[in-house]
Amino acid sequence: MTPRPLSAEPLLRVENVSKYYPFSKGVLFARTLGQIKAVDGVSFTIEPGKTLGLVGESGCGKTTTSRLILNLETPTAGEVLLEGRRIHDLGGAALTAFRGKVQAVFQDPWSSLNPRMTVGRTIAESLIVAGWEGPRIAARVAELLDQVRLEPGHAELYPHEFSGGQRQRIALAAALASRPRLIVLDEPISALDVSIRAQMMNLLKDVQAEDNVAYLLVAHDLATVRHMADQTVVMYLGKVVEHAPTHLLFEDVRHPYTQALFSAVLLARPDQLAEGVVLTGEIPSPLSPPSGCRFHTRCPLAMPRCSSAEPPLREIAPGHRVACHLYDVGNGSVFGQRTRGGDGG
Amino acid sequence: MSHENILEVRDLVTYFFLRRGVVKAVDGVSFDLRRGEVLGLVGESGCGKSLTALSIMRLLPKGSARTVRGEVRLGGENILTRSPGEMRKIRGRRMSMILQDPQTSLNPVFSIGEQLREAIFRRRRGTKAEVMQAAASALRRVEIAAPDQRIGQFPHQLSGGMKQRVVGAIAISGEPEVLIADEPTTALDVTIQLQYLKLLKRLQAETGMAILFITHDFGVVARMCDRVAVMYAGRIVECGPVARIFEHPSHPYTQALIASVPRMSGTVGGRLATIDGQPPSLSSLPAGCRFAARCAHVEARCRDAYPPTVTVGAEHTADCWRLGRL
Repeated sequence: MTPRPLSAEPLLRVENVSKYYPFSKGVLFARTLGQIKAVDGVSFTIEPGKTLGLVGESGCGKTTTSRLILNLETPTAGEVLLEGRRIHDLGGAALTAFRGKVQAVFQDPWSSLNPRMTVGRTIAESLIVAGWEGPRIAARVAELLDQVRLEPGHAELYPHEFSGGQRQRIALAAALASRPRLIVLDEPISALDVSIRAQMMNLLKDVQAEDNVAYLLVAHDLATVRHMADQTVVMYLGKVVEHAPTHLLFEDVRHPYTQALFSAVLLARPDQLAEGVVLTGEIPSPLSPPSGCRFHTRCPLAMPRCSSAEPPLREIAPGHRVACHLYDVGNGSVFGQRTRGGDGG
Repeated sequence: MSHENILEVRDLVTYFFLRRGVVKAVDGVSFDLRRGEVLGLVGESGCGKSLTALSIMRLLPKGSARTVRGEVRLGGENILTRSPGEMRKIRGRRMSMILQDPQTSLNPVFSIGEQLREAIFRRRRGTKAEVMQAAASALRRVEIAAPDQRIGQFPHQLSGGMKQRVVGAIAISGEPEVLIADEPTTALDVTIQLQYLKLLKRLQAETGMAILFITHDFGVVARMCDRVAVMYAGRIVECGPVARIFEHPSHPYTQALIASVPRMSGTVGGRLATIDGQPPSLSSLPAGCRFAARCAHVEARCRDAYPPTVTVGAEHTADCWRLGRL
């Protein structure tokens, strides 16, 4: 159906993408005071059928990044390519086709479903847009409900008749309807109850295996990312600070910020308590990010050059990229060994 | 009964009386909170943990909710029979509460200093300068930098973590014996959450207050609590020391909950253990064990009658029929 991309081309390529929002004061004679660099020079790729985890705290730019990929925002600089085509140049039928290929499931299943539409109608929405008709739609809706472990009869019901976990499965069914290649999952389980989360994670993995769909998983819970993602990108104030295959990252965390994030994870086992790197201070405002390395104001290992020069994202081991002066060449880098090793338990 | 318990809750029952029926949100909850300890109250949304806290504070939403039965003994005295005026003297001085969302706990139109001053003034009269000085030192105690400048600022000028610290400062300003913290870090970022938990621990060590810590996160329990009570559908189903509950969870619900959380170490891949189904509706609870419909080990008697509370170890109890046989 779609033109086959070159075999070397990933499903999604995010290339040096930035998104700045002007920050102004006043209404009639508004003055632009500066720019909020929500996303600043971010690059990564996602392969078909794989999951990329995007991790960071509030204000790190993970939501803006996912909106850029969904083509809901236009980048200030850089480009996003899906199957080798620049998504922000698309229009008309090509844009409609793009919307079918890239779908989203949002955090809150209480607000992401239309309360006035039956579940069947919500799921059928993208099929109607694609020009499908009556019986074919009904058959596909039944198939989708089955895929997300709901009953065919549920198509006639309204969202308020379902629990949070079921609603999130309905949102997933609606996202899957157009057979997307990529689904942006924005904190897909954090609004769900603990006992329901595992069901949703298992379902997401099953669906990925069945449909070979890729996921961009935006999450703050590292254990979830470890369970779900093949690659992990860690962001801080609009920048990528560390990017590695998930198994590598969890064995050998390099960036001090990532180390702090790992230390902040509250392990559900009292015997695994570890102090590690504990951050002090607040997350700086993205309006006036610190000079040099944006993390230097909270970094326990900051050096003089961190406040003046911005560290580039550099590959320090195969596939493992870190933006930190600790790993500068000639630094005799022995830093960054994690204080806490996996205990294999 | 014992001097070491500062708070004793006995058979607490709080229902919502609605036109469509009675919602049994808290249905026979009993536990002790010892002096100087942190007791975790864990459960999913709708299990009644927040309503238990509001029943203890006697801050139930006006109208439909009512505590029908039970006792809440603070230092040996049942406070459920106290008058509203007497309760106002207890709240803020002997018992305080921190809620989940600092955005709604603080009044947006008053400065931080004024809100602190109100709390301090209730306890201790003094000149304006004295009270302001007490307010500044209260902020310093919760590790807010430059308190003299912060005191004149309004809630919207503070970050979420800082607002929650101010709420904490207000809560402990009356030097309460009991602090009830209802998911105080759920709205905070992970690195800020860790800071806040460490702060609460330090304040607890300094003041010797007891904390009832309500959460849905076992990670927070492991970090914060000495003992933990697990709640399901309006009742406490298991209670014991934190290390024991993690190593030897006895109730099938606790076992399943702990097993379903993804790990930070060990092998990845494969499927997570799940708990099928959903909690029962609180307006039509089953006669027997409330977890029976989702339990992997269910037997006939589980559906017929609520199981007894069985002692399964030192200070460790669980409500389950299977345990009685062992």
